Amino acid sequence: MSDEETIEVPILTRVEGEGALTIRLRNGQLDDVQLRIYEPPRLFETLLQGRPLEDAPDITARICGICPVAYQMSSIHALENALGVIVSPQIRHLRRLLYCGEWIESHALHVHLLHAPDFFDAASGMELARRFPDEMRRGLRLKKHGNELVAAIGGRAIHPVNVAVGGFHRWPPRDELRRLIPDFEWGLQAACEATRWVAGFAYPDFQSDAEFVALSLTGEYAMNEGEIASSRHPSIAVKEYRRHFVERQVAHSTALQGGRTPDHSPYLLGPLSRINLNFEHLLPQARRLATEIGFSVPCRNPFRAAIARCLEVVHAYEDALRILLSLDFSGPCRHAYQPELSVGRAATEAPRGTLFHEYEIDARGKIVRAVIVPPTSQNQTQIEADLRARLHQQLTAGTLRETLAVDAERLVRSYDPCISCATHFLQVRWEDA
Amino acid sequence: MSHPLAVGVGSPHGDDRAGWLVIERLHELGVSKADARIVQSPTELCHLGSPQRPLLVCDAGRSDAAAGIIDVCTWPAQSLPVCRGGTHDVSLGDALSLSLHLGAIPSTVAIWIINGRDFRPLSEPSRAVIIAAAQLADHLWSEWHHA
Repeated sequence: MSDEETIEVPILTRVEGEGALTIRLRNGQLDDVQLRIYEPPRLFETLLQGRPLEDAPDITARICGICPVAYQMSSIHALENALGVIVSPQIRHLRRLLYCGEWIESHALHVHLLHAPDFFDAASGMELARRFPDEMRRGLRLKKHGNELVAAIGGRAIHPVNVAVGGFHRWPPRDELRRLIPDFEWGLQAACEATRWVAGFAYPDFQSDAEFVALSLTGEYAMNEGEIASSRHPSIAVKEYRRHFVERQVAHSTALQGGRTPDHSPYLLGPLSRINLNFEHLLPQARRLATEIGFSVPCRNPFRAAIARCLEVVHAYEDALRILLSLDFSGPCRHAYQPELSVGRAATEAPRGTLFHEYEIDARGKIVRAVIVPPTSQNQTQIEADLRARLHQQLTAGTLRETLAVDAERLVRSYDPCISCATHFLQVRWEDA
Repeated sequence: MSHPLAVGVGSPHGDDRAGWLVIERLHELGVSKADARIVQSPTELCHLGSPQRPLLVCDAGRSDAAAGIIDVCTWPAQSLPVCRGGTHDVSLGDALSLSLHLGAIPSTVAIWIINGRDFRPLSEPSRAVIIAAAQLADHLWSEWHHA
């Protein structure tokens, strides 16, 4: 008779959305581990069918309150791909600036309030704030800068409303953006300090064998465009994405799980993959800082994604300042287009990783079909693979059962999963009687 | 310092504007923009306040009470009024706790909640909320000037 034991983490804390973790042991060895996502599906892809293509950016932005810009960026680029629109450099720069704001606010939030408490055995960001008030105040200020930048361009900090297919509804007020420059100059230095603080955390010793996947672009740290690069396979064009990456349903999760064809092998998206694949494109201060703190690539420790996130915040501040100091709103803020029956695809780099959108539109400009593949659903398979490896490592070392669950939850948090994003879909099976 | 720092939390969406309306009325009554602030997220409290200066927060709420009904409590001794749903990225209670830990606010905070009914995006606030906000601002102004 075998000796079975189940360790449950019924509610994953300090992640976006609702999920749980089940660890099954048999005779003291790991039998199975499941990242269980039980948040209900949210119907977005079906919701878009039949609606004007112009609705997509604002509707898909509602998938997430933390990374609405990512949804807007992926949707407009996919729709512009379908419509054959090529935007001006001015629009391209402003979109990049908007994305910098989102990376700053999302990363600063995760690093300080969600992830950092794990390294001090603190139960929450509140508890950490008592012990590190200056660091937390600094982190919140960074987050605020990100929100302010998104609000200045997009009209509001959460679910901005100025993004449009073809460009922007209007150029943002130049003075409002220029007013941010002193804060961003301070923020760049503060982000460097935050990175030094985070680099000093005591990181668990763990190496993942993940395949790293991220957008990659010649001459620039990819955000809004690029090829899909990999640490194991040749790069592919975004239009080939669905031939190489698929989602499937598993019984224990309401979110589809991503995998690489043909064997549904796991892969990792997000800041660690981006920095591993695109390190040479980090802007100078971020790259110098990485060297100063001894962060080298490839980094295979998912817990150290916190450092990658911080370096991306530094990069985003540098990039944002570069754009803010050379604002150019000449030319139209929006390009015209003529809908026709077509399919468009795009991927952009959401804070948590590559976010793929595909739209089929008809000649009246209505959406016939939408496919949205968010980073967290793609990362689930890798998270479970890493959990298995980590738990095996710890069981071999004789780690106590109560420590196993805590450590596993911390590992999950290090990927910054956004469960609400991952459960956006609805698969409908019609049965005729 | 003659009166507390007043912070109105809200958004431009219907009755969610209640906290802002209080602050806008205080501005009309002569309170400076530095002493009466409008914010969208309660986490702004971490950057606005100080432990030495009394603080009052005005926010909109949604409960079973009629639109325009005003609740008041002294946080943290009294728990915040129970509201259904919320529009803040971090709840007011969590933001207050965080701000207190960061030494950004005093140990007690006066919270004024105006109940609303209609929070549709970009809609106008209801008449009941407009009246309640004006009454609350006038009340605060009068309190400060008779203290």
